[in-house]
Amino acid sequence: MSSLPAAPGRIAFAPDFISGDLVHLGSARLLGSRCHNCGIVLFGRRHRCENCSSKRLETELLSDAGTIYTYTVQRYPPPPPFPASQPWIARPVAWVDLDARGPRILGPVDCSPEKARIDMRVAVRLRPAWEGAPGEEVIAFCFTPLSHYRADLA
Amino acid sequence: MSKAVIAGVGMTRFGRHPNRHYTDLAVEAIEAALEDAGMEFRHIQQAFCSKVYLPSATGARVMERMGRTGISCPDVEGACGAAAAGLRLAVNMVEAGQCEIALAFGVEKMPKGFMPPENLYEKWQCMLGLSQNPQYWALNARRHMHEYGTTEIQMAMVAVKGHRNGALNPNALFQKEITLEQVLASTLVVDPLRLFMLCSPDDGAAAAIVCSSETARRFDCKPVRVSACVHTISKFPLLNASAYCATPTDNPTVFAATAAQAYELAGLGPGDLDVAEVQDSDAFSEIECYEELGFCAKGEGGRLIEEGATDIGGRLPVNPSGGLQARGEPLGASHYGQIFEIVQQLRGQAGARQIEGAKTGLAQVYGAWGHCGVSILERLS
Repeated sequence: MSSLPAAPGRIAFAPDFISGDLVHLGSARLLGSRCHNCGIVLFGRRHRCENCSSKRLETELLSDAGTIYTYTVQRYPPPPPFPASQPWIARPVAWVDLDARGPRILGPVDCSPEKARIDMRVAVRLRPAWEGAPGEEVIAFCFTPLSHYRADLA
Repeated sequence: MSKAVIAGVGMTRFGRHPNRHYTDLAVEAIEAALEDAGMEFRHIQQAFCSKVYLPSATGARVMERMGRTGISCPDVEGACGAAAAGLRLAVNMVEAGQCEIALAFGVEKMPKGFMPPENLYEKWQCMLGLSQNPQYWALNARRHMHEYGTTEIQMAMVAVKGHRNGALNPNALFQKEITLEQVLASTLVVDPLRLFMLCSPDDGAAAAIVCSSETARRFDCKPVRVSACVHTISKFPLLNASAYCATPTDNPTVFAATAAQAYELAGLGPGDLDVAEVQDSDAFSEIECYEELGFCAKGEGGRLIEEGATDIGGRLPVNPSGGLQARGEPLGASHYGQIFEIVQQLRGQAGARQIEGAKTGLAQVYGAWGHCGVSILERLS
């Protein structure tokens, strides 16, 4: 037994949505599934195509940039078990169309509510988002305005 | 195969019933429906209990109160569309001749505020905070404003109409009119939606008794024909709550697709409707329903409310009961509450809310993970 505390473990927010090294997040990317039958790209690794039910799916890495299709602002904290900050700071949430004919996915936007707008360019950022088991960091995604994006923050 | 009829309806007030057990609410609605149909509980050969948040075997627990006559009464769960799924089963069994008389009812007890999310979302969606139902409606509303110029005032007008109608409905949670200014001054919850534009989860039960028109003749009742009762799960992508991936497709929305099936079954179109009850979970969603159910062209929904077309007395009154805006939403009972209103309207029993000469009515519900139901009722000639 080591007398040193173990390095905190990291897990993805859900299986089948992130590919790569969770310790060095710069190399990790969101995962999608491209359907060879209907051509759609879905978020996450899938059993069948959610659109056409085909099994002819290919997993691919998704673009780490996209464009806001629509957004809202959560003025009140989402209900538990979400670990809301105290006090709550209003945050935008957006549907984002990922580049390279990627999927439209939903996520929080890391910017002030006033800044969010339709057609805004954003980057996908992977970051520790909440604690899983004691000492375990859960890695999830959010969007950041592309002009603010710095890879070293990951 | 002849169409089923609804022989009787009953409901509790949709509201806050903190001191009443849910079986008590269900019993009140069922007893009212039986009396309305001129029937006894022993006439019921099959029952379906719709619920979402209540515990396992809710229907069986209601049988404990109504009398264990040995019939089947499974729970039917389908988020906010649960009651449409239950009604469809009752209608199908009657039309298939598998039973003569079926009871379809729903009941729920919900705390106010955001719905407890773990029943409706994956854990990770909750932990990311993407578990606030109104956020989805707000996202749709914002895009609609961007594309079609729909305004906050038009959305507020839906809330004003809902409360105006609710003030005439003794079964509504909110029975007080509100002004446009009050709606626009109410707290911003999820931009652009404000507190007075959002429906409140609440408590209540409602019931419908389904049988054939031949069977209905043996009882002292005023039957209404079920011209269509359709329940589907959305094609991709989901329009609303619980979605996390919504890559665009050419698929019709689940509102449009489910309504198209219902219109075809009923052999009529939106132009034939005299009254509609739709899922106005928020003021914007009602505008979306106008368009998706074919009451107006895409993008014209804001103008429809502005013109007063959907007021009582307008071209096509929508949510004369006050809708979810005024009644709130006891999930499992919600569609039966709509059915109750349409039946009253078609029988000319809606009192101050009566739409003159209403012969044909539509009721539509929509819920998490894509559950959608559309029923079309017609006055028997």
